[in-house]
Amino acid sequence: MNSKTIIRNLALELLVYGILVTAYALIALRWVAQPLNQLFHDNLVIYAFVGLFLIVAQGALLERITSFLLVRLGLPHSDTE
Amino acid sequence: MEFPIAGVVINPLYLAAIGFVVGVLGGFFGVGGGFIAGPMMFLSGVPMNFVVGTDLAHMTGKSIVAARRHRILGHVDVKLGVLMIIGTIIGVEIGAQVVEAIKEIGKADQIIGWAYVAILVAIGSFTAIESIRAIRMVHTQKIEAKEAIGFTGLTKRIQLIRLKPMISLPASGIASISLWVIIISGLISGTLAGFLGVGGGFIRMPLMVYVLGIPTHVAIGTDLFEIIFSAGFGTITHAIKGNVDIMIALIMQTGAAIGAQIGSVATHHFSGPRIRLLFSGMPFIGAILVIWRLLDNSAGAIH
Repeated sequence: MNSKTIIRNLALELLVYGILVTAYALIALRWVAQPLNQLFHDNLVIYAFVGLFLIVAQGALLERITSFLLVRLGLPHSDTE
Repeated sequence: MEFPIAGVVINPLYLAAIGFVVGVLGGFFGVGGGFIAGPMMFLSGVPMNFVVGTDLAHMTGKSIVAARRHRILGHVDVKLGVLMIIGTIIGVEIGAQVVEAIKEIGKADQIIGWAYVAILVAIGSFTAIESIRAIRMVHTQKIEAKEAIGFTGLTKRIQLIRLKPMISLPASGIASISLWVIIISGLISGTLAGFLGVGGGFIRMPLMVYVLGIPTHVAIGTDLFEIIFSAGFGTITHAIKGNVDIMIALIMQTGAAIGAQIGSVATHHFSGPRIRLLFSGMPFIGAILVIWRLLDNSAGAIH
């Protein structure tokens, strides 16, 4: 696969991933920020684990969803280089 | 935008931009990038205790993304990463104990700060000299660019150590190496990381290349794999102490996740010596930032 195709595939994948990551952050800001703030003041141990879960989910889960979406939509995936 | 946990008002685009820059650097060099993200967060008004904890939180997410991408490219040696984690965890604790001992003597910030500068300058200088030599070797001796190393003496001596049990690292192309060498390497990098209060990626990556003889690309991917666990553990401990603003970390992670993918894929298009030459600039940037902070603190103390 030539460089142009690799870059195009990666750009496409990053576009889908970027939309998902941004949407995730916006949803978290809208719906999770307040309960998380409350949890921070009520129980730091639960806050710590919920926080790590949110970070891991954003890092790992969204990538899986991106791969799934690309396969479903029949779009090229940079992993297949 | 207000982040009530840390008690600061910051533009989320600024945070995402910091994350993006650190993500690209992290994915490309296999480092956490705390020495750049930390000062930038601090400058935006995030309290110092939140800087450390929140940085670790976003580092965890970014490393998951970057390590996964490196794994797809065949750049992660899981066996090596797991073994090094053992030494690293013990080392971090030793380093933290050394810090406590220095605190009792006094002037801990100055001692640790200048030790940090010395280590950063030493790593940066050595890597720069070695990588330039390696690039010259590629041109003059017509050897393969991918894994040319300027100084191989130490690696050869280390690989001659036959202290049992001996293990193989097929993913790194190493037929036989002492398990103890790997654990002690992790211990050394962990001790320095614990002593300096950093993630230690900029110590581990060159250590893997020059001491263990791991190919540069695999060292980067494996380092990121290790950072997932060390930063994840750090996130939990700091969050329990109330030092993590997850919302700031999530916003930073938005940029970092994209940057980490770009940085990781970019390594595929650079040879080992060229990556190391580019990497050599990073410790110098870190050293300048630390010197600036030390001098700023000294001036503050005088006033």
